[in-house]
Amino acid sequence: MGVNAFTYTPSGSYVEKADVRCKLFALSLLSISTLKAGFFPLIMMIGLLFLIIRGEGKRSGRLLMELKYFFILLFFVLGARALTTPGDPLFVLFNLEVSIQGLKHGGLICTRFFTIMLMGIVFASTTKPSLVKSGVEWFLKPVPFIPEKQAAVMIMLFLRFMPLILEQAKIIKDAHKARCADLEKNPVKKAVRLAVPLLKKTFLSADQLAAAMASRSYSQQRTDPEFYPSGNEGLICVAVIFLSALLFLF
Amino acid sequence: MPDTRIIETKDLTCIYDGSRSGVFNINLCVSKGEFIIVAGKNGSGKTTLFRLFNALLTPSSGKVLIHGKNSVKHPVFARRTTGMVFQDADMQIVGETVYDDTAFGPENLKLPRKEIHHRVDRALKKIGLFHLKDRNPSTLSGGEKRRLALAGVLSMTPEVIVFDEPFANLDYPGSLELLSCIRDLHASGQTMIIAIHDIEKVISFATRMIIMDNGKIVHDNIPGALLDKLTCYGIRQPAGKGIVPWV
Repeated sequence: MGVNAFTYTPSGSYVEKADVRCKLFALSLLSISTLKAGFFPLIMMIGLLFLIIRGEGKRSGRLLMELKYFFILLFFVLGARALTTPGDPLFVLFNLEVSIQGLKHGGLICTRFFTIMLMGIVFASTTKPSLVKSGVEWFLKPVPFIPEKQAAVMIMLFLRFMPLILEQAKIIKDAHKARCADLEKNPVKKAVRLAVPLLKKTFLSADQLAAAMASRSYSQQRTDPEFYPSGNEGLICVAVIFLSALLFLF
Repeated sequence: MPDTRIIETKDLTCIYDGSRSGVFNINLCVSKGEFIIVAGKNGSGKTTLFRLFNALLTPSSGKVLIHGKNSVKHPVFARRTTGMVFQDADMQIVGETVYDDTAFGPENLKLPRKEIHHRVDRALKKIGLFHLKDRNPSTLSGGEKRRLALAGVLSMTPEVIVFDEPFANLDYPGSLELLSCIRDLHASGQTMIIAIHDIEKVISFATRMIIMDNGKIVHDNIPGALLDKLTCYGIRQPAGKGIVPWV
């Protein structure tokens, strides 16, 4: 399995050692505040996030390369905003006016999305997936009508089996290529040829998985998850609330 | 004398819907400390029998008794007593790390966290995977994955471990690693039942061999008494003369 920007890598840093519940709280609060923030605080926030990412031992250049498809998405968001927001025209492109206000507004939205993406990277790369599951379970516990243990097991199974399903898809694709299936240009036919064996295999695997889980006495009445507070959570929460207030107000 | 019987089946029959396959009229008894090989060609009913032991299937007629308790009425008790290692380890491993996966069973039993740590550490040390406890299971070798599946069962402290084709798709080093674990468990007095095609790997440990054919038990005896009957039922005879250790 390849390592990417989102892959958890143990670094022993201050952020990594913090309790997952504190990190989830910080991520939620900062994300909400980011949606209201202006350009200047956002740039400051991006700078801070890059410092944290660097502290985690990740290279900024490589990270930006890995986000290339995300930048394409942002480019479309920017384009859509620039072309549809009324205002002072900057220039005309194929009878479509690109407005100054549209560019500014689009740029602000893209910067907000990019900030949230960086926060997600910091969270994912500093948190064990099994702890994410435990954190979600803890936050869902007081919510009525949501079976938090079931949700946690679903997250665990998703994290465990998604790479296996992708690996299976790759094997099926290679088996098709070995019989010159890449000469087929119709994308629908190609998709059907991939989907049928993949779904069949996935359903069979799900059946086996259910039996294996039952044999290990799976039930919703499970032992509660364990957390590992570092003792700095109070300080982190205060800093996050202060930062969120700044983002929200400016 | 104390009753050493752990599993007992009485006229056990399980027929799959819309087919003639399954197991028919099985009567057997598994006692403490036994090492039983269940041999037979594909479709002979080995896996079905094991799933019945583990209360994963419901008998069409007859019953499986675990310490005298009907497995259908007490499935959790049956699963705690009879741990099953499946043929495809990838489908049995559910945890994000080796440690998490080994803890899955004890967590389902709602054991206290301290007891879970104790059991997981002990199981991982026993099968030699403790140094890999933080690894993602998908990065393990085939042999290590099979041993992890075994650790997941051991952490539930079953009285009987049931292996369904444990050496399937394993290379030579992986087979050796797993065999070493099985040998150590056997030496510690663990009761085991193994379904296997290639009996030469474990025949030297076996105290009993059951041959299945078309869902029925056709022979049940000490391994030495059944060697000349193997080929009639599509089972390869061990290489060399008599019963000797594989390596």
